[in-house]
Amino acid sequence: MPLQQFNTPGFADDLPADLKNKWGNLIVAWIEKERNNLPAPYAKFFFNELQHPEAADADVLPITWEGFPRHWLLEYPDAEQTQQRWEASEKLYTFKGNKFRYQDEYLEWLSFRKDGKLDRVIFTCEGPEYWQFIADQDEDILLSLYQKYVSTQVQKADLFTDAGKYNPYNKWNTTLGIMHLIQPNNTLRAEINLAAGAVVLRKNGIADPVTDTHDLICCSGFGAEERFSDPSIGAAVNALVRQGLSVTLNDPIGLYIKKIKSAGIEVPDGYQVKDFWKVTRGDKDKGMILRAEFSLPAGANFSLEDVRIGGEPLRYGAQLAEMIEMVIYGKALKLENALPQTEECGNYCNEKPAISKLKDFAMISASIQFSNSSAQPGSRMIKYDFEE
Amino acid sequence: MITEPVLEIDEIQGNIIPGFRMPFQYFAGCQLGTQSNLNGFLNYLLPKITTMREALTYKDERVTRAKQAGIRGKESFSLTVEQDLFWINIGFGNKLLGKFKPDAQEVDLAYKLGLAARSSLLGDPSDTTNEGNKKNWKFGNEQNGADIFLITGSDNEAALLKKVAELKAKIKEFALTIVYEETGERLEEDREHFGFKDGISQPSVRGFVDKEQKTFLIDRLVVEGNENLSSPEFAAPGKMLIWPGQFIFGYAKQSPDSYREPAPISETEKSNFLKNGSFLVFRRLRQDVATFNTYSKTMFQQLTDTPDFQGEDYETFLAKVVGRFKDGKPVILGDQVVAPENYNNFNFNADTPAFKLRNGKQIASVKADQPGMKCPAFAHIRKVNPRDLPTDLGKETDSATFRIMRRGIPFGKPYDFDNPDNPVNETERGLLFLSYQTSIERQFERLTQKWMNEPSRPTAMGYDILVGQNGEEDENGIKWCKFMDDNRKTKEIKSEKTFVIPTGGGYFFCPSVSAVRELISKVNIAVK
Repeated sequence: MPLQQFNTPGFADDLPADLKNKWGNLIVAWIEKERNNLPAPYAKFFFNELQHPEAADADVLPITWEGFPRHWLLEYPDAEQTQQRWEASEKLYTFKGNKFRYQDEYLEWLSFRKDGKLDRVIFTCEGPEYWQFIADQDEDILLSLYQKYVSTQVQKADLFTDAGKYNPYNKWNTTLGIMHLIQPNNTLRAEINLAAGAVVLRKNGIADPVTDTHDLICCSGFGAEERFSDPSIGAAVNALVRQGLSVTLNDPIGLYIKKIKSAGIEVPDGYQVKDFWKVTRGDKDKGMILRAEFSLPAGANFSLEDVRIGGEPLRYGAQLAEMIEMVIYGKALKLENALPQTEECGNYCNEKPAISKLKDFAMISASIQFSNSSAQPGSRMIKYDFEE
Repeated sequence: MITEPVLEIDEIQGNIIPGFRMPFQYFAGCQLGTQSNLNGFLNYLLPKITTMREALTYKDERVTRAKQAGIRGKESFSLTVEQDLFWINIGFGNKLLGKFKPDAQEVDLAYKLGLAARSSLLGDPSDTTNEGNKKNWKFGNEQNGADIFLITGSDNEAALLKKVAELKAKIKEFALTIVYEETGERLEEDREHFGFKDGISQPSVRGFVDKEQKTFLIDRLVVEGNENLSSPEFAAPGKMLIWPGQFIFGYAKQSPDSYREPAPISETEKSNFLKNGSFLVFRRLRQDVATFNTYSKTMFQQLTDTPDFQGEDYETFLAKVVGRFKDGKPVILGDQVVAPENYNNFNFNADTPAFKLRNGKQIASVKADQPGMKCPAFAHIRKVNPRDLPTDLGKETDSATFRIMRRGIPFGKPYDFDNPDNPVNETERGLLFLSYQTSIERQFERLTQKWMNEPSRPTAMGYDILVGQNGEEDENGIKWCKFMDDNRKTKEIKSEKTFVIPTGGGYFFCPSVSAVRELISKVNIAVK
């Protein structure tokens, strides 16, 4: 059936019909903004599904990547650094007074500990824009959702600044709990911007069109090279366009946990991984999980350290993140008979970014922008320093 | 111009590079007990270890004679001056080695924990009644793992058996216990038991084999075609050059960011003990040929029941599952006529360059197949070696860092299709899989766990339906893969059967000759 309106991520049923419709309108506005930002002939290669009912029959194309940040694997590559790698990925960092963890594969998690031992881990992949939208539209809904999913102790004052603005870095989304993504790279707009930016075919004096992933990112300025996610998404989209196809993100547009791989997770006899993995938002069967918890089954008389992942006792949420598969869903249609001319390469990588220091990882925009203004190609390539 | 390293060919064990390739091989896994004389055994073995120099010298002579005689494959072993050889290499499990030297376990978590601990991660069956569950392994689980793994080979079966008897007497003399032993034999035309020619695509390792830096390990035949510096460099068509540090410690590694420039050795890998050594993965893989033979026809039926795929023939279907026809010709080449020496010359993402070779031959460019219409994205050879494709794990340049050096050999007698009642069909057969790499975790395990066993990665077109395993709970091991025709029409087929079953194995470290010597002195101190 042709799409009538864009839905909330994972078909989340948090809002009344009028607000769901308003969210759908916001998605349309973002898509159109991205299309307008493309070189004119390429606008047809990033289509708005509402204008193409024939897309209802197109195959849905999953594009997947791993949930544990690649940059921590690059920073701590050695076996003996495994624990450091896991620990570093779970630390809080401060940037311009805002705290967040450097978990940049559109998956963030918080490991809860009791007496120093891992008690439970909560994962989220919900873009901050949705939560900002709720805050803007109905503060009471926002509060009730925080109370439902994070803690009954959440107060409205905890979520808003003195000036009355929603604070995504509030304590229930940083130190005491986790509700949605806050690492500045991890936005829904980034996903749309990346998919749109990747449709443009480039030439650079060596290749026409450019197919090399690094060169594509440097030419078009989408995404960050040190991640698993961005190069995967960009390369997949660009390859579809090279085959003459137009692409879009499948409704409901969102960033998703596809699954946790149970192969490799050994749980005590009599139990299964599904007894520990509890999906609390999104749709597990459709591979559109928004939020999940990993914790002991009711009545278990053992600890999470009795769970083994790849032979190691479970002590960090990071170990589970390595077992999590992330996904976005796309669609491709043959809308145009000929490809446009390749565009000249942009200059978004003057020099290859160093990846040896955390401060150099920060290939992000200065703050999360919730306005309707589009993130311009390359805006996420700006370097900022972090303080630990 | 980047200088390639000089490989210390008197230090490196010969099965790592260039590989024994011997038609007859014998493998033994040994455990140590309180009465074992490890020192005595290693002293006995040390002068017998076959080095890269010996294996290379023999190979050069054999290949030269084989070319002159126009003979390929295992028959070429009858042409050499030296006959009735007995070659031997050794590997150590971490349970033993870790007591004396921690260097290897510090650089590889998988080696540190061992194959049994990692079995679940590799998708092996969790059901303890399943033949592939580690509890049922012939060796390699927590109880029957090997401390020492011996690899031997000969050009002559009788000579092998005679020498093996001598070796076993020594093993007994030094009070080691054999927990596993098996012979392997190369089959006709180097096929594996399902009938496909094996071992065609191996990494071409950079480096010189002489101190004068005149002789490359891999001869460079290409004189035109390597000009694009952001593309791989080829020694010959299909022979992409890879830095040796991916397979042997102590040398520059393949960079995740560049096909051509090397990556430096990490500080922890700069250990004298590790230098010139390599990690060995051994998996005893039973192949269920009868099931593959019948069930592949069921899968073929699933495909051709769909109008879009009715024109497909069975042999091409099989070739798409593997990525190659049974004779080794890559399915991506379709009907093109190509010389067998160029069966490895293809890419998936970008067309191969046209080559001009030293002998004046011109090799035409080969069309790529990014969507997987000719060579499906789930095909075995594409899953384990995506070549120039960017993947979920990194850029296209990164894919080369996952390569492994395979040294497997079949075991068991070939299945008799002409006489299904032949008792030989009731016997076991399969592959003794061996791979060398400098990171088990990032090479062998990645290929297995992240790609072969994962239907969505690197492309969401299904499992490696031939070798991959679905170890996910509640999925009953069912695998699927999706074919795509030239019009992008797709058809998903399912397999409820498993054709390749893990029945044993281990992770080992294969040190240099000097490191074995150092180990002897360590063992001496420990004994005193």
